[in-house]
Amino acid sequence: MGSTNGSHFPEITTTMDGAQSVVYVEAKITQGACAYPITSSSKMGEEYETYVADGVTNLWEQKLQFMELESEHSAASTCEGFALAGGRVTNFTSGQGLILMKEVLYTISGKRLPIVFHIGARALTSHSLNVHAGHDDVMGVADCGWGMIFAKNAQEAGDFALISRRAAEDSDTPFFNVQDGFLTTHTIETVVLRDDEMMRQYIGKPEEKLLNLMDTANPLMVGAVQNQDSYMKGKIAQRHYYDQVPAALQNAMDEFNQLNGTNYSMIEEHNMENAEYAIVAMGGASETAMATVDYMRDVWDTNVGVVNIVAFRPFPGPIIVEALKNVKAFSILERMDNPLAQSNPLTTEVKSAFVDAMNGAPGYSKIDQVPKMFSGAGGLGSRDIRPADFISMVENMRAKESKRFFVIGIKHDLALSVGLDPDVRPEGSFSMRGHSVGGFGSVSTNKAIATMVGELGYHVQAYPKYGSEKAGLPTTYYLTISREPIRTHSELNFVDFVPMNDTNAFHTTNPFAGLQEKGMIFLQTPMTDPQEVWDAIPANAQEIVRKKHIQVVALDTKAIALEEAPSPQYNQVMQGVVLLGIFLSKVPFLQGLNMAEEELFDQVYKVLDKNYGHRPESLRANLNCVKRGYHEVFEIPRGIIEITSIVRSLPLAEN
Amino acid sequence: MKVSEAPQRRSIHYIEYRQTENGEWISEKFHADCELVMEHKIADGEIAQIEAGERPDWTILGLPEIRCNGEVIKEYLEH
Amino acid sequence: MGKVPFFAPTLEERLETAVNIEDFNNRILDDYDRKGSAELEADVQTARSIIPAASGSYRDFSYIATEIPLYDPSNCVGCMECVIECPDTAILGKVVEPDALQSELDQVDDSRDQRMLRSRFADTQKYFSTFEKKGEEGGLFGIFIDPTKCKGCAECVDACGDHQALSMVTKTDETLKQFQETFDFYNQLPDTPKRFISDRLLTDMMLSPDSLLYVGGAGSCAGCGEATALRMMTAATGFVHGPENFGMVASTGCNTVYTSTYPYNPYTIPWANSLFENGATFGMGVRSRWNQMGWEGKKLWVVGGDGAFLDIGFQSLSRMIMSGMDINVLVLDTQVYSNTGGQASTASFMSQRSDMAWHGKELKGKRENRKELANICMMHPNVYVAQTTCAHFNHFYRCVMEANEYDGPAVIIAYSTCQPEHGVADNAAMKQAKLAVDSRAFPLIVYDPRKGDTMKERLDLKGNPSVQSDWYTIRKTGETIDFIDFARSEYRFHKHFLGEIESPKITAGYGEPSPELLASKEERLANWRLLQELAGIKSGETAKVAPVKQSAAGSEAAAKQKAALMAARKARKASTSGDEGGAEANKQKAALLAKLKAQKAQK
Repeated sequence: MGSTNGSHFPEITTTMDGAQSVVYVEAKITQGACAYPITSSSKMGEEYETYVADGVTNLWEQKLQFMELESEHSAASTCEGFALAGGRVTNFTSGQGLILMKEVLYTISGKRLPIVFHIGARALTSHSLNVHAGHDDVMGVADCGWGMIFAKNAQEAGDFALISRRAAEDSDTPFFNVQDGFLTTHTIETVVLRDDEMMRQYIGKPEEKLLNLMDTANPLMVGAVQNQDSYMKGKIAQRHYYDQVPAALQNAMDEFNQLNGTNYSMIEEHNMENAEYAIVAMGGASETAMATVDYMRDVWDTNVGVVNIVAFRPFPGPIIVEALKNVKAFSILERMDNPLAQSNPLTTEVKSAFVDAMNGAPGYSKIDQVPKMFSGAGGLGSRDIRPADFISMVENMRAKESKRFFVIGIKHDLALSVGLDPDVRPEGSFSMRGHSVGGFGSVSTNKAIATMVGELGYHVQAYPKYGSEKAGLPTTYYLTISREPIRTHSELNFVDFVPMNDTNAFHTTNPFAGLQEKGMIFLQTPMTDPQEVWDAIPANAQEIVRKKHIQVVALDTKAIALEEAPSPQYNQVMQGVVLLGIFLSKVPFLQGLNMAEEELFDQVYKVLDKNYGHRPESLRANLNCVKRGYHEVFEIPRGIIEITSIVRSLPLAEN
Repeated sequence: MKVSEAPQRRSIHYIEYRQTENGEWISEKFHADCELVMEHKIADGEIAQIEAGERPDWTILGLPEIRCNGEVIKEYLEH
Repeated sequence: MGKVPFFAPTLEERLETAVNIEDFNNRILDDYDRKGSAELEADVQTARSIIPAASGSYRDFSYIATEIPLYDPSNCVGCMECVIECPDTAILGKVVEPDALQSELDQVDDSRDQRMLRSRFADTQKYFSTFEKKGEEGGLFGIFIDPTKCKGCAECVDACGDHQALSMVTKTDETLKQFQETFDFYNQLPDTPKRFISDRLLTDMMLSPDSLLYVGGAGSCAGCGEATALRMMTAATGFVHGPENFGMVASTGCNTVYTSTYPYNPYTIPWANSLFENGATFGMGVRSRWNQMGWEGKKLWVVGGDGAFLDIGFQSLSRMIMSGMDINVLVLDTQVYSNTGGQASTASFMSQRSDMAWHGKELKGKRENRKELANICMMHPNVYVAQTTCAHFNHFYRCVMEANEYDGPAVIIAYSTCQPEHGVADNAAMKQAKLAVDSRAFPLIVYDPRKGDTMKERLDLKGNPSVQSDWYTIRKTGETIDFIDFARSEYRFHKHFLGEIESPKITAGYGEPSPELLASKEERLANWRLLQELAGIKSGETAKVAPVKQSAAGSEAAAKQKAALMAARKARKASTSGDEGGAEANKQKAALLAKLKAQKAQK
């Protein structure tokens, strides 16, 4: 809907997660993909395969190929073979998978095969298994001769799929396009889709750009053995290719910017003009940092900048020095920890860039002093990185007694003490945290709500809280809606609406955590009388509701699901979708839309079609559920809430 | 041994042409590093060459030693 | 960094940068050979380490061996076996029409040279008399040695065998020159006319230039059994499908080391290596892209050793088979990690001595059974599987041709004699391969799913001698050949013969076989009986073979450990239920429950 400024091509704004954003591009420009499932990148392979299953062709009307191998090692090997024969191919992996393919990564770069792999960056099983975000995996393969760029949100994940492909093929060098596992791969955000014609021109037809080194008409031997006499020559001669990579990547970004009105570069400087202090990070945490320093600037008049390292390979040392040389101090935050090294990898690289600059090494403008450098580890295994953490990092830089190496997000001797955690969401944001049970269809509903709201022109951010545990257990999901781009990638601590499909939520969690004054809760209940509903709420919860002026709405979504489900298998799963109707009816955020009901449900139909597939009977049933939610949800009148006299001790903790 | 001996190299020591008592010529290849003797089927013209003290055409390549009735032929010695 | 103007190279420029074939063949090869690699620039061409096709033909082994084969044309019957078995493409045959030969001979000045060259040709029954009888002009057959390729292994002499048309002869500078001139003459002669190459006689295919896709110049050991297998596979594929319809992927191992060490490439077809364990899935990528390009008909072979396919790359092979892709695999089974210096693989024979399965004072060689890849592959759906050897050349060729025809995955496991690791002579490749089959060490197998619905219909053991019996009995002599006879002929088993070593020759084992070797014999018999049963030749006898005992040392240790564990368990049971460990755990559990209760009460 609508087009961003500066683009020469028509654009469509939609909602999708980082995984979809990447696959949308790759299904247009590649000829094939190979993958082996691993959380959190499986989603990308799955999505790509659905295109193949549907017989979709790329922008040059070539049928896509997909192969699921028996390991990441083989998935990478198959990519190597496909690319060797001149094919444009991709792969999706994470964590242990990326490390398992490491051996193949070298042979791919050695053969100069310009493949792009998409990584949902993930922690490694270096003490226990963790499927969540971390940069351990990508840092483990940072020296395999591949380019490596980091996207901080779903939009960049897709755009960087194009940029990395272009840079790779222009420099005969493979690239990783990295996004944070789950935090970006599985978070639905507002994304501008690039135009087909733009991609066609920008990337070019595979046959016109790629060499077939398995050509029977031109038989060559590739992958030879070289001994003491030859090996080193070839290895050093590869610098011919590597020397072109920075210019190729810069050129790919410049051209992309020209075509699409974006502003991508090797590093992204935010609020760095006149900044006294800076935070340096990679991936989604950078954007949370940006939102935080804006808050610090606007509210506290503190000048802190952020340098988001987009390109880790090639490492843009001179540009980083230029960006940071004038600050008093900067702190580098890394999503991994390697205690035996000189420093963690990004810190090591930044330090050596500064030494080169001090020495006036070629390519560097000579500097005379180096800012004070701090380095820290945070967000390992997706330990939440919050605005408060960035504030504490700035406090640490200002303090007399400061920690040169620090950690955030945990309690430890090295940890920084955390103070205020401000709400840095855009002004006027609306956030929801839902408590449900795996299998109720709530995660899909959350997606549907996000899609719906996105279609209405809002920026959205939606994600479930993923654990490695399986279905049948309580689940939590999150949604933020805003008129402005949402830059925080932290767990939601400030929410305006808490729907509880899980009737046990009062006992298993604190549903009021972070719920704002005058917020709203929704209760799943078999009761229809508001008084009965209210009476069934635990007394301490009633107290909070009353004190915080919380609006309470309720409905028996389970009964609706039972009535509407076309067959018994849908009984459970259709409870969730009723919430979409409740959301549309009750969320004050949407009340300004003034949409006619018919128009609204036309939109709902489209969204359901997108999210729930094409079976007409289930689509109809879902629509009915939404309509009934919209019409039948009822509110507990303020009168009932206020007159309740039972007040008990032991209130739930308020956040 | 029922399984034949381990293979041994078969390198020619010399090739012998010999006239038997009944006047028939036979030729055999004697191998240096084993006791192997191979029969050589004599082709047209070979005997004339042998009698002339020349090496037969087929032995010009490789120049193996040629003996005729026990004597090393002249042409071999010249080499 | 910053704003450097950037111009991406065109596709043509890219290829030019990747490899400039003319420059490689004219400058690099020559300088490499004459000046040595150190004199060569580390130019951009070396960055991808691409080697153009057939650069191995430039390599000169003239001064490697002291001997060279001498051809006795009047003894020759034109069977071509020497040409087939040569691992180095150093011995070649040609049929020439007499007029064509004469016109080439007329251009030779020296009459002695003329006579020498003329004497290279025999009027064999096969190519001359048979044709003359049919009223066609007969052809003259000759065998020629490329002195630059011959490593002097003398395998050809053994291949010739009772025909007695080949012997080795000592090389001199003068004769080397002669051999070179003779080979140049061979090259000048026209290709063998098609009418002399019978489609029915598979042995003749190497008369066709389409079959000579392995030009030699590889750094394989003298007499290498693997190299012959590679030559024969490429020959049978090129001959039938054309060299322009053929590509190869190789898993790291001896084969990649001797065929792709820079700058010599013995192949005339596209070839690629990625790693040790990923040949099959690397090949899947190539196949997938080829198919996408409409190259479904082109033949793709993946080659590698037993390590690459039975061990480290086993899952990748299994994955490839399940894909149903039209990919053929050639397993060069040397029953040992030849490339890394001879460590045991799962393909090694039980009791075989190798590195990492040493024959020591306590442990006597490999203790595990041999893994039978063919059997495992057969249990995958829709795959052609064969086990063959180069010594059984008709069988080998037929398997390769059937694998190529089979529209789906095919796996051919070729027994490959490895001289240094088996401890056999340079000229023993064919002989040992034959003995491996005769002794049931390595039975010939063809499993073709097209042949029927039952295992019996699909599995063919033809080619194995005395196929109905446990062991092979030589009819003439009444002697029986068994696994012990095979073991006796190879140094890798020599420590299993307990008697005095009477012979200084390393390849002979004397005395009585050890119990471990006898166990290995039983293990081989069990495998053979299983195959007989599957092929419907015999049934129900496999069970009669006593289970093969693992090494005493291994099982004793395990038994001890088991006894200790059982004793510990018994002791635990005997003591009261409130033993210390349990009590501590129970205490902890009770504490946790109490805490939980308190928490709930508070809520």
